[in-house]
Amino acid sequence: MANFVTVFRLAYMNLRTQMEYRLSFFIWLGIKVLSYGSEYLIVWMVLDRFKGIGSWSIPEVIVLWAILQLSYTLAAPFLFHSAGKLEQHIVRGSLDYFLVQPIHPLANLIARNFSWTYSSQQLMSAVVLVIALNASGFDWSLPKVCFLLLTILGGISFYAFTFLFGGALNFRMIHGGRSIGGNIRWLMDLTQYPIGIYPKQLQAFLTFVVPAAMINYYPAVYLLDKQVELFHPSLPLISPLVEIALGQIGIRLFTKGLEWYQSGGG
Amino acid sequence: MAGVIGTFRTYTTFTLYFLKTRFVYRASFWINLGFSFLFLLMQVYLWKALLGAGTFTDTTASEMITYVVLAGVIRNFVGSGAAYAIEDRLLSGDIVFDFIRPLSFRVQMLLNDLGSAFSSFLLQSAPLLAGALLFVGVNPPPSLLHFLGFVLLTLGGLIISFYTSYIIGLVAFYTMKAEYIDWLVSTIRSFLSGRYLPFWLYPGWLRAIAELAPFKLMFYTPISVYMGRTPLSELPEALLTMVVWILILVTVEFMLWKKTTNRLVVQGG
Repeated sequence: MANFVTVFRLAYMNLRTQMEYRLSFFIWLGIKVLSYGSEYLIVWMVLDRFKGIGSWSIPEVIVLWAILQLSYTLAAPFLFHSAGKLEQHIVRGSLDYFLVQPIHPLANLIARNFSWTYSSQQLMSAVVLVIALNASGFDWSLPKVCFLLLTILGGISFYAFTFLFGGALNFRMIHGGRSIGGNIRWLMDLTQYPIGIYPKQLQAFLTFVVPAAMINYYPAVYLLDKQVELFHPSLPLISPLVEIALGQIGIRLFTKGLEWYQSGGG
Repeated sequence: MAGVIGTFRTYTTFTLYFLKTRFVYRASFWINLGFSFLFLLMQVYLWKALLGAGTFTDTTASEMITYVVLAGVIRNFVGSGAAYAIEDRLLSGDIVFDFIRPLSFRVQMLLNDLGSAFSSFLLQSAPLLAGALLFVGVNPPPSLLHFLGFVLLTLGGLIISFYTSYIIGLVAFYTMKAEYIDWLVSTIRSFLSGRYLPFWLYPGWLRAIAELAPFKLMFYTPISVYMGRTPLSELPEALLTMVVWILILVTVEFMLWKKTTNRLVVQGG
């Protein structure tokens, strides 16, 4: 609990530092909305003349993309910079600084690198998701809303896994960690469209090897009552749980990585 | 003459040095290549699903696959890192060393970019293209001239990419931050360059705007020449547009450079 309070205080301190450059902070928020908003526009431009893809309408495809973006923008403020800067800390030996303080090194890294500039993207992704769900005829019943929240939590966990896994690899292979973590995250882009368009092997890869499709595709099949062919009928319901489990594995791996760490500084 | 050769050697060393840094992390290279191919496949399957075997009004699946493969190949080496490099050197104060070298700062940056583009072409684009030719299938250009036009325009696109990024970097002399503007310009560029879609699939209003900007020379124009969508009779006009845009950017850069260098204040010591 003491850890949480300290993390919150450090993150708040971080916000105040960023707000010292108020204009710059708000410009950043605006540009990020424009940049991420443009990605929805590209999906719309691609699909507009085809009125969707396969049995998926344009709003349903936007639901897939919005779940991905919302999950990412909720995970990234915590881990994008903290995991991204880990490589630097290892190479320079400055990770020692985090190891000798009376707070868990991961919590310390997160707090000091917490990014507040994702707030505009979070808001935009949430609004787009709600609009797209409405346009897809989503049934706002309690079980489905709860499942939707679980889906987002699963998505956050999986993104957290990619950051932490990449971070943990940095302890063993410098540069490779960032590359693998980053690439797995980009792999999520493969699931911005329904994975039914891919051959079975690629669908299996995105389900069982790197379960990116479990962030959005399988949950959306349940949420939107889609009738599609699946590897197993239970996949839509278990997907968020698998992702949450992966998030836990990510934390374990990162902690294990810290045990491998041998300071390079002096 | 000896002086020219000496200078050329110095510049080539810069490019080779950058190339070498890219070879250091081999695991990272294979991983990036594998994933690049996966992303390419995503777009290929997307267009196969959308267009199928038949023709949809004004484009076919094989045409779109050729377009996305070439766009993927170009994307891997056309992106310039000049803006970030300048920002980084400004913030750290390292820019002082760039100024005292007996080489023009602009040329150093350009050669860095060329080294990066050349290594990305060898390490990313060429294997990606080979993979696409083997497993995906790419339509050949209608003639050798179309192909030469494509190569020339792509090189022009590379220079335009450098100058836009470099000009953004120069703005950092005023703001100390190039990141925001770079993000903004990247967003605009992703629409106006034809990176994801050819202009013939754009809504009319967006196409009209995209035709006016220089970014089309990075993706759309070279690829549409390769595919024969832009007929050979229009190739001179496309090349002229490219030259005019490069001249405009060089002039803007020259004017901005004169103003900015007078402002430089380096902190620290």
